[in-house]
Amino acid sequence: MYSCFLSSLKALTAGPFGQRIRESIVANLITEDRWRIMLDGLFTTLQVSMLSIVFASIWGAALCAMRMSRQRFLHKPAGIYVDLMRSLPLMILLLVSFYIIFAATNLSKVQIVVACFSMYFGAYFCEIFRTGVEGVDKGQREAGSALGLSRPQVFGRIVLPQAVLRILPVFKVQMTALIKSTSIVGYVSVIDITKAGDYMRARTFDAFFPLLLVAVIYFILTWVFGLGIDVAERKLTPKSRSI
Amino acid sequence: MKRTVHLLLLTLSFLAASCSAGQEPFLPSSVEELAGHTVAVPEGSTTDLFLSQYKNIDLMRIGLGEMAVAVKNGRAEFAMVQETQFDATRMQDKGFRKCFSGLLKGVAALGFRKEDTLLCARFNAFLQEFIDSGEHERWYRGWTTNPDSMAVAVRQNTAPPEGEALVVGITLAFPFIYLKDEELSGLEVDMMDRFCRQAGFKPEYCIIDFPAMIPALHTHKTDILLSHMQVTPERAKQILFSDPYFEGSICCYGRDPDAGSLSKRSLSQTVINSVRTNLIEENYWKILLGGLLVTLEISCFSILLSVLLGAIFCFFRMRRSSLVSGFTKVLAETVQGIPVLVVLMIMCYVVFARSDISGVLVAIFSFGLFYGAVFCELFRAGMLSVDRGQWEAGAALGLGKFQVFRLIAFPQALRQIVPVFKGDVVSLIKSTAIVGYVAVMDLTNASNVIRARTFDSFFPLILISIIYIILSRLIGSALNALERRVNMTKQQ
Repeated sequence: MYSCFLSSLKALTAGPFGQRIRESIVANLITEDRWRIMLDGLFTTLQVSMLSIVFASIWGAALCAMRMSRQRFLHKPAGIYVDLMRSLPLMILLLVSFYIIFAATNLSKVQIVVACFSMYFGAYFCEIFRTGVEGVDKGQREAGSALGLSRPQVFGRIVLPQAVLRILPVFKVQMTALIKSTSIVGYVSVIDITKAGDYMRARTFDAFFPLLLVAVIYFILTWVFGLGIDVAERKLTPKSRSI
Repeated sequence: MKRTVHLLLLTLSFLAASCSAGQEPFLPSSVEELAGHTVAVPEGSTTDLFLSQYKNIDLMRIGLGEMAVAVKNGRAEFAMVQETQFDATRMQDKGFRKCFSGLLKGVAALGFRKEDTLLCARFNAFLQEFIDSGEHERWYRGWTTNPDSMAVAVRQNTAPPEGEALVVGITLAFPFIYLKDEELSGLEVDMMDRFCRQAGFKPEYCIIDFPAMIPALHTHKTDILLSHMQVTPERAKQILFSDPYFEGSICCYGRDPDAGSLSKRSLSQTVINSVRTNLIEENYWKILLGGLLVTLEISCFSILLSVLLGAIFCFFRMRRSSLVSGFTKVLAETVQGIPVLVVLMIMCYVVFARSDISGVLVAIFSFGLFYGAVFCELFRAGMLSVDRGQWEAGAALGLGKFQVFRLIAFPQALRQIVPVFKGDVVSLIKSTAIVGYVAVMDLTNASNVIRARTFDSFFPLILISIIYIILSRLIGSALNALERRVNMTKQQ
């Protein structure tokens, strides 16, 4: 498989400039199976991103429910929590989670990182959800209850479908931010794609290629995830559904 | 204001919440017995490479300075460091015990670029003399048995070296290199100073993460590597080693279960004690203050630069020429699709690799570029929100294009821009916490330095959390005032 790959690589990169690119690729990726580190790193980044998006969404929804509750003892703490998360750098929260909050637990590094990202982005998602839900006209709720629907029914059938469409574009931005910010997990010795690039650089002393590769991977990653949201948005728009 | 107080109270309540659980005593006597346990190793070190062969050990690769912290609060069960380093750590904090030692015996030497043979030869000559005169023996014994008095003695008896600048890359690790009274001190710093004094150099110490050491040397960020780097054949292929100045082996240590636990003290006592050891002793507060100033400096200049760049990008992006606007669009989207950390590293290791501008400037350029792209989109959205009819009405009144922009379009766009701008500025300030990655001593990194020395992770982290909260709250309320002002013009 290698020889096949190498020969096609040679064909693709003919000429003196191409040769330099080829040497870079061979030195950085193929020698000592370095692509494996990159692949492992990519997997970790994906794992952390996806788990964090899921848990942050759940936690964000719960926080949002708390914030919108009429009970003081529910919405006050939620408000303070959201404010706290929004004024702390993610980096500090990561260090605090790692060395203080979860220091004595048996959670693995990746689990701690996911918990930290969920805590942090849950607060952001909470605000997005809240603005989305609050953006739905009050008349819609009133109309729903006038039709004899119960409160959960009004929320599930009338408010939520409208809110989701408002939420998705902003959610996309925050989700992209989440994926990008996973690049700091190397600080607590989780080997993600950025750290893998670091290791590669430390071995080959070629700063350019690994960083460029990492940048391109992040770019593709955020683009693909964004595309997913775009598709969801199109599917959920009533206009497109009728076609 | 009330909110801020609430936040601070919540943060402080972490104090009460934190208490670590004890672990059953287990004393490994060989590497094999470490299987299934978490072991902290210095990232990129020979120990790291060696233990990587054992697949069933849960390795935790961190900075040299963080090791004792990780063991102390239970993040790692064991750590592996130079025996000398452990002895010094033990001298300062009795809460550790050695498990086994004598691993990976080797020698440490200075690292040079392959072409710097002359510099290397000069150091070797110095070292030979240093050893022959018996000073080496005294130097080694002094630093390993009583580092603090040695540091005081060195500072009193000698003048700082003067001469041609020589950038020395270092990693903080007590007692080799550490901060004492906000100045670098330690076994290796002392030796380097002696060499520089003799050879007529002025050393400029630059703190770098260990794995980035050799690349930093190759990209001319540093001239010499000084971090008790073990001489190995692989490393010798990449850099030129001097003669060895230090011989040692690695030992494994863990937490001592018999040592008195902190929980016996009352909360107030613990806090007072933390304040004393983390801030007042050895003037650590000055390091924190310096870090805060660097954070503020980077934040302020980055905000200015990014607003400027954002405006320029936006100007080009709104041009009718599809080439110019297309190019700006691609630039803005590319920069936004990459993590700011990667932008920072590209700036540091690729764009400014050969120039010797400071890390602070690199950080300012990176954040300026990244948030410039963010602001470009923001400004454009703001401008597009202004109705076309407004421009036409302005033109009908006989105003020039710039006048229409200044008097009619801009004030309306501003109202759309400021609320989002507020959030972005706060997130810029928060994201400056990552600049430690390119060896800038900001607030976060300052706390790391203190943690590396006091082995207390709790107090410095909580303290800088509070500082960041206050900082972002202050900026937030300043921008709220701006928002109110912008909306005021609407009412008039």
